[in-house]
Amino acid sequence: MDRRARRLPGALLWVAVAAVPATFLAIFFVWPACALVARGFHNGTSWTLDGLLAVGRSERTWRALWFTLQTASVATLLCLATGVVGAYVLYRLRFPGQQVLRGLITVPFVLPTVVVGIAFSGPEPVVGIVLAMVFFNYSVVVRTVGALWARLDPRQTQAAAALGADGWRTAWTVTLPALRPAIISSAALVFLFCASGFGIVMTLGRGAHHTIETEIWFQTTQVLNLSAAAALSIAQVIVVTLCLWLTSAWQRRSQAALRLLPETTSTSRLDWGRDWAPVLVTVAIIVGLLVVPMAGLLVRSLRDAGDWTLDGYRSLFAGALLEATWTSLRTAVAAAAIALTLGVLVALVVSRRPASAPGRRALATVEGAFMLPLGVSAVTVGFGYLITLNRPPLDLRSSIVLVPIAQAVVALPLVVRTLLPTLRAIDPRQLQAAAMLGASPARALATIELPALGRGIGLALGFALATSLGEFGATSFLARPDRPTLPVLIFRLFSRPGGENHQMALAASVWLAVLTATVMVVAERARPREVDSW
Amino acid sequence: MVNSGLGVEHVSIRYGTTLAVDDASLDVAPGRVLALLGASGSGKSSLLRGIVGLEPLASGRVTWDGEDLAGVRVHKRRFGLVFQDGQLFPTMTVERNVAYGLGALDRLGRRRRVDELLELVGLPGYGARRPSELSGGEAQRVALARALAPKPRAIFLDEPLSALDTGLKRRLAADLSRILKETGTTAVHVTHDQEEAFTVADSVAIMDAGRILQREAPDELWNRPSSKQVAAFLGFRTFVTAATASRLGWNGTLDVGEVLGIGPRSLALDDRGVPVPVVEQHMNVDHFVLTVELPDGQRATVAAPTRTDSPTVAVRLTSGAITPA
Repeated sequence: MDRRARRLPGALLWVAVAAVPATFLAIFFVWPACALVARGFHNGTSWTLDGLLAVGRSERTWRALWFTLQTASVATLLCLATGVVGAYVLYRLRFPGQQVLRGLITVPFVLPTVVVGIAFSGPEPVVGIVLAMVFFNYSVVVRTVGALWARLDPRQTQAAAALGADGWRTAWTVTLPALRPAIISSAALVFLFCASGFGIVMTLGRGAHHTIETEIWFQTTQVLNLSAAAALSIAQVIVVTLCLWLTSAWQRRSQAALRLLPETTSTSRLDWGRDWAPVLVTVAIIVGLLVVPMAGLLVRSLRDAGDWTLDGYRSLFAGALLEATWTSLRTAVAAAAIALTLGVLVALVVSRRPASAPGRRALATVEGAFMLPLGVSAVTVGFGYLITLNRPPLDLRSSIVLVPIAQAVVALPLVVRTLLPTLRAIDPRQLQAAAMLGASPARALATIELPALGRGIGLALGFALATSLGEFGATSFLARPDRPTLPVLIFRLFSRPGGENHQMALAASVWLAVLTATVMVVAERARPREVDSW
Repeated sequence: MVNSGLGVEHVSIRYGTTLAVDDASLDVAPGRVLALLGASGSGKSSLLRGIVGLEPLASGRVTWDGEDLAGVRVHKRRFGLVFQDGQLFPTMTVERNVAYGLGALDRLGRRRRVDELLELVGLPGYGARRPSELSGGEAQRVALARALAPKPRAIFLDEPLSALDTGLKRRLAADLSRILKETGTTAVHVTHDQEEAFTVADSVAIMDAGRILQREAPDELWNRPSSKQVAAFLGFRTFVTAATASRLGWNGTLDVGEVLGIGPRSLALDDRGVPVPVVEQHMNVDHFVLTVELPDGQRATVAAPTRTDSPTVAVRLTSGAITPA
């Protein structure tokens, strides 16, 4: 009884810490998003469901929804099929240069959607959209499945082989079921990213193809039909919540059920006679899907009307590029600082280990809430800012802080998911050992938890910077016309007619890709072992 | 006034609906070492964690020198704890691990105390190493040094030797016993290994299903277990009556309501003893174990230096555990 009274101040302190990011999200995410959705139910004089019903009857809505589900499903299946093979090659086998390849496949994940859209532009927009989605998310499957596969006890398959099962039967009956948790959780994540892809569909769909996300953009900005946008936002939130819930449920289950070994004991050396098929498939994917499109982008940026030329770059450097780069970098640093500060607080709060079951459930809910920006349309957030933060008490519409804030909201879930595993990996007995040696909770936090957290900071910073550099959905609403960020500049150039503009768009895409890839390659070097989901 | 040491009064610990520790009471005088002996799942580790404050008590209280510790938080109790797997801090050197609990000392004093403890546990000069460079036995020695460094009022050892191989375990148990005596440390040592318990402790408490069955000095426990359950835990699995015992050449006496427990070392080969049939024989580490049939039809084992070819051997009952029937 007095025991509980004693514990309370500690818990209260953590609630206070949680209040900082919670307040931020409430003002800069929940309020704008809800305000926008609420407008959909208001026809100017009274509350109504008419708008919603009209949207439900509109063929356009269903086409967008159907197109979203179709492309996302196909892309997810392709990602799984190729990603599981890639996981085998890059994580279960051992060969020189493996680390470099693992890092290389992560780069697409943070490349700006606008850049990727342009890289995949071709005669078949739908094929381009699906391939671009696979391009983005291939590494998510490889990493998530590979991290588990590398640590599966090889004696399981050896036992199956000793019982007379051939390679296929072993793979089908022993290995795949063991990998199922990772496969399902990565599938949910990939589906989520595909279903909310905005930049790709904007650049490749060219108005002819719409997903929910671009339809929200179309309804809000082009025809000002807010009830349609609201209805679509709600549909999106439902899909996203379902996905997140599935992911976390499966992840929890996967950690308890399997016997895992250190990575080094369960991998085997590359054996060409046995592994030629998966190796060839993976090489084909990495070259065909990752290297060729980016190389193609580079080549196209250097060619005009059949000649090699640097004109695109020349006119860019003469014009808007340097200023846009400067704006992008400044914005990214500010956004990363905000996202990292809040992310550290969220990770610390969410990684607490309450003794009581209600406490644990409450914490799981808090964690889910902070993940929500991952799936709510960045367009909704961006447009929400325009209608909520435009008057006192908070008039930030013309303020330059709005863009970094929006980008920080988008980056926050990634930062949290990068930092959290480092804290979760701490054995609770480490903290108990510290307490037994007389360390107060504050000292245990400073000497045991913060050093662990620190190992994730580099990667989290990289993700935050890269996300912010490439963010397009919300930024496209909020960037001031005279101060575009790089993705906004690229999209503008790309939408304008004229060979020179096109050339400049390609050149700027290469420039932005190099910028983000550099950030990410540096950050990858700081990746802690326990962070393996992307 | 003399310090009355550690007191545990009617402590129960619950996990959800399961009762892990059921009304356990014990006390440990300053400078004494108690072993909590029990099979895995008997609740001994839970009781230990309850005493140091890492598990909430469902009922009962823990005291030090008569003071109730309910209001004293874990890091203020000045107790030491050694985990089964050491739990050294991987980010720190051995020296910083050992110095972790030495808040009040200055740098020189801290240094001196660390050296003193590494010397004590037989690892002088290991200060600059990383935990990852230590063997299992070395890591446990460092964990012990780390727990002893702040001069805790009492130290608690949670199966500290269980993860080590047998030979190392023996040596470390002897070292541990010496270190605890040299430093005059009050200790509670949790283990499932009776040999370890008897090596380290002044007294042994046997736990089963959350209850403390008996608490005694090792030899007393060995000679007079309080129940067949305790006797069986110590290896006395065959119980004979006074008549059978004396037929086998035992020269002690049993009161009414008592039986004699026969353990692995109770019977000895003796040419002038009683011939009994050999049922089975197998080899142990360095000797043979013969299973023989006693005159009352029960079976028991006797150690032999070689394999025997004859169908009977002559044995004498030299000792046993007097146990309530």
